[in-house]
Amino acid sequence: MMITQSTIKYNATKKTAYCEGDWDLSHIPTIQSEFKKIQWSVNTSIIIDGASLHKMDSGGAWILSHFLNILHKKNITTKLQNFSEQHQKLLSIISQQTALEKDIPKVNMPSWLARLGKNTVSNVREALDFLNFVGQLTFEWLRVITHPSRLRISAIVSVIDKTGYQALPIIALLSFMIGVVITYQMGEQLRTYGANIFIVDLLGLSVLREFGPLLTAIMVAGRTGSAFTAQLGTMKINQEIDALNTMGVTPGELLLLPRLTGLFIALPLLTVWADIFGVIGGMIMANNTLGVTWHEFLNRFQHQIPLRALLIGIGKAPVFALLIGSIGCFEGMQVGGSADSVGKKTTRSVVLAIFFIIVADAIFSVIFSEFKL
Amino acid sequence: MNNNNTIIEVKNVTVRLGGNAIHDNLNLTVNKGEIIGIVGGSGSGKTTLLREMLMLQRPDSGSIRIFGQELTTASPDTLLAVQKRWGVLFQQNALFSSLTVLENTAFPLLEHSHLEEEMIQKLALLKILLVGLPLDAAVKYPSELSGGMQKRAALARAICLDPELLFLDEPTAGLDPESAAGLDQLILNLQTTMGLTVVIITHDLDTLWAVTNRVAFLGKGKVLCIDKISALAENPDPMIQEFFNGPRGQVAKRIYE
Repeated sequence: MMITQSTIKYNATKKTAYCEGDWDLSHIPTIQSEFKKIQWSVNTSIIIDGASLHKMDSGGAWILSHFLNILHKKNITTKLQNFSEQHQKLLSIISQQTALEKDIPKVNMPSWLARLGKNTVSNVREALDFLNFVGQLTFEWLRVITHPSRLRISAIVSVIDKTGYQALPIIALLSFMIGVVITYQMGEQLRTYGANIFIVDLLGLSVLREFGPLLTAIMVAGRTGSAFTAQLGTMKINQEIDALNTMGVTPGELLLLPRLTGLFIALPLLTVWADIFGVIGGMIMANNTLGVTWHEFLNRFQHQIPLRALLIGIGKAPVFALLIGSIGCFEGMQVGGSADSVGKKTTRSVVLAIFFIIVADAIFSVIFSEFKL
Repeated sequence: MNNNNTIIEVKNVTVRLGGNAIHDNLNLTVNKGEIIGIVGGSGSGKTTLLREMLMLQRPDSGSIRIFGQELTTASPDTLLAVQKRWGVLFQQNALFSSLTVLENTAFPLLEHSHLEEEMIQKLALLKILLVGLPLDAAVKYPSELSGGMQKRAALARAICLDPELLFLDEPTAGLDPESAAGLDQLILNLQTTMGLTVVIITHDLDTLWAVTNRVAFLGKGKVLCIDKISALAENPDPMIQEFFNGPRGQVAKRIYE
């Protein structure tokens, strides 16, 4: 079979336009440029011939009906001839879609002021929802605590395993490096004053009071808070949460409280773990670069660093745990509709958790300094 | 050598999942321009067969030829050429949730054609209208649409590149009877106007009676029988009898005969 070129040709004397070859998606640009080159006779009637049309798909049919519309606007009447039955059917279906000649609908983008207002309202609403959520959880907790048989011990243990035990290596490594970095940076300054030994005070206080709990919490927010949101969000989309509700098992009892309780137990323990490795990291650096021996370091450590410092640090951890857990769970339960929403809420959960951890830490600092702790 | 009328040729395909033989030397041929239904009880490997034909899963042995191309050993380029010629409607629609219906439909065109942006949008819009969605649905996100409209949107995306071959996985599942009947009609319309070859996997007896030219019944890892539905319903095999002549099968048969 001879391959004809896909084109449209116009014979001015016969007043006939011939459609030839394959009129399909890939040939639309060539057909279109051929069409534009044609000098049409004006105010007349012409015949469109489809006899040598080899193949036409819906794209080709659309471009033809588009051409016909252009011709009609030039006051040219058209008549189709020699089109196969299938092509005619296709053409008639396409030409029924008159809405196509209208503009393409656009997604409505409100003005910046409208968006600002909308965001504000939705944020306020979310804050109220969060309070509502915390209230509900509290009630749930009271209900469960009065019926200890409803306490899901195995679920709690599993959460502790996943959020605490499995996080041990990464937390150890991270806080070890923080200890190293702090000692390295501060040691430079201390050496100029010949006050090397004070590294013990600086490192001990900063790691035990601030860096240990804060870094652990931030790490856990990224590792566990996001996991909570993604797990619960996916369950929500799969209607697993709805299923639980209809079976008379509240998601709070089965899913949320074990997560919160588990994290509440695990985070302070992780903080102690981080404290240990932070101090070890600092100790190694002090020994190597500042000439403070193990013996000197530990000797001074027990006299200079009050137990209070450790307790304050660990005391913050449960608060951070509640923040991470409740924000993670809340955002998970807010997921709706699509996979996109899981992503958005997970990001939000991590960002908000870290934000509130730092805010809470600042508030703690103010309170502790008021009480001269 | 293949004759030109064969679109799909599945030959001696065997596949095992977790020790169970899902397909045991399965053979199936689909001819150009026909609407073929694939049915079978739960677990008879309908979805697995579809996934194999789509090359989402490799068979352990056997050959699958689509448009005369051997897919099991095809290079990525050959596969892509075949992929551009088929469209797939998934059971769960698989619309991209972060894109609007128009963007979803335009997606294959954006990826695989070299047309101007406006042309692409017009063509995508044409497909949206063809499947019977209103114009304002084009700018909605899939989550804002009802189940039936989502199905139609997914179908619009499947036919966007004017495929020669269309795979439909449970197209009427989860739809109300009216939408389901509308979708049946739509499939028939598209088939006649666009000259498609359609492979439908379904449990819906109404769809089978109303739309298909031939039906393949899967069982025991093989195609037990492939024939017109009226003939298939008379097949004495107990599995087939159970499927077509249960209470629901009787009703559907009475309506369409």
